[in-house]
Amino acid sequence: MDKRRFKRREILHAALVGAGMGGVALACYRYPASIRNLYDVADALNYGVHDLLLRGQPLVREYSLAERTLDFPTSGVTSPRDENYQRHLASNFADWTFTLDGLVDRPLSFTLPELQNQPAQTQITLHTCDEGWSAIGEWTGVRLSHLLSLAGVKPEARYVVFHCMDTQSNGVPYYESIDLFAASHPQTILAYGLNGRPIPEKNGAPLRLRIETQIGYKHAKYVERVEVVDSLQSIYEGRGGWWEDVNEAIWYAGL
Amino acid sequence: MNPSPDTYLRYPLATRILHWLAAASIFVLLWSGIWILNIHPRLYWGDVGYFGAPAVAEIAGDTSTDPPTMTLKIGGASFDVTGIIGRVNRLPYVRIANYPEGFQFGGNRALHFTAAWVFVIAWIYYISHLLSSGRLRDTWLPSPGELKPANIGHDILNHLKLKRARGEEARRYNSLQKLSYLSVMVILIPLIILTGLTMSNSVTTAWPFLFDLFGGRQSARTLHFVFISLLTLFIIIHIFQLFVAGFINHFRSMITGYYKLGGDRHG
Repeated sequence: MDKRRFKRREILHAALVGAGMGGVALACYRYPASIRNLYDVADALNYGVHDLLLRGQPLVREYSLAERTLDFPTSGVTSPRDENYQRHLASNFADWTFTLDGLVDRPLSFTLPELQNQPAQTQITLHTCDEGWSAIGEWTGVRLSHLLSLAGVKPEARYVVFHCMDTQSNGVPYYESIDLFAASHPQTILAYGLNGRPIPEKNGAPLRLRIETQIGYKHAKYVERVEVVDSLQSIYEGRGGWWEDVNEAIWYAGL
Repeated sequence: MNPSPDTYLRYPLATRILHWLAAASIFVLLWSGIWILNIHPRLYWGDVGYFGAPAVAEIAGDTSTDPPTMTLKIGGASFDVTGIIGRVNRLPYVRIANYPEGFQFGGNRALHFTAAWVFVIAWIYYISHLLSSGRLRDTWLPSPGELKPANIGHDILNHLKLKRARGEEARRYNSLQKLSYLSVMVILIPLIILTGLTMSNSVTTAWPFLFDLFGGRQSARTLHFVFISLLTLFIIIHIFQLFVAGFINHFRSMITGYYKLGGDRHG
């Protein structure tokens, strides 16, 4: 009827479609791995949209002591077969060291007591596994951002990779990665305590990642080395994590 | 195509494209969703749920018998489903069914989220099309007269008798069609999307009120299943109605857009 209004609507429509396509292109551009198929486009979109949602680093909800799940459930490896790991477990990790290296000014090397002497943080949070189960745990550890600032992250750094002690079915130890933004979330910690005690073997003794804004498989257990990198392409198969490399799991695990 | 006088454009192009995008994505979502549920076929209420915690619904296997006995438990009721659903895979885990060969759980989740993007974009696009084109008012919103109990009763009776709308009557949606399409589009689908989002750690970090809205992480998962079951029921009735109302004429009209009044017999 009204030709000018009709035209305006078409312009608005074209602008919205254009903006949407621009957004998808931008999301794909900043995705850390190569885009091979539609799954990767969806993963890039999840990553982009959730990053916008979490811009202000909101905190996850915390629970009361009474709500804790005392016998904390597990998935994946619950007892690493590796001799080296079993030896450390038997000696209560007395001569075990944690390292933080890669693109940092001052690589760190800490024994377990040295890590425990760093400023500690305790949080009671809901853990959700991609299989569908969830449980509440009280986690104690040191903020990852604290360790990163002690080491001094180089300007070109983009991602943090977690190298673990548990060898998987394909003969490769577990690994996972997150970006520096998620690594700097105030509730992202390397935890050594669960429900007021040292983390049990099945839950990742002596040290595991808590990345509360993401789902279970990101929370690498049995962590012994944290590596700061500028790209994930050279980490194993280049998808950023063990499940991502072997099982087509999505890298951005906020969902 | 040269439409005859009793043939008219029933569905605009946008409606047709979005109908089939939605149909394809819902099919993929149901398929991948079943395999996601399969790895942990238990539903809970609240925030917490795991093997060992009380469930509101579960498939439980008794492995002391050979073959194992399968029980579907919903609330306090138990149903023996041995041989129908339930497989014991790597003790003590019970699944709904065995996974297809070469199945990858991570890839299946990726498929679910990819289809969810298509579905959500199609839904948003369709809602904005309904609002901006006037189609919502013209064809979907029931008039006050249509909402009168007598009229709804009349339409229910016609449905129960499987009576087909004829002539001019077939041009417009009846009160039941209007109410069911409207409630699926503006109530059920948003609830499915929101309960899905409540299972996401990062979304609930940004929007913790979703936990309060649906009662927690596990409640949202349970409700997601309930709402999807309702949507599946709608789809089954929708397809059944298609056969009652004239399959070829309706199916063709959702592809070409054109519907032939009174043409369902020889259509």
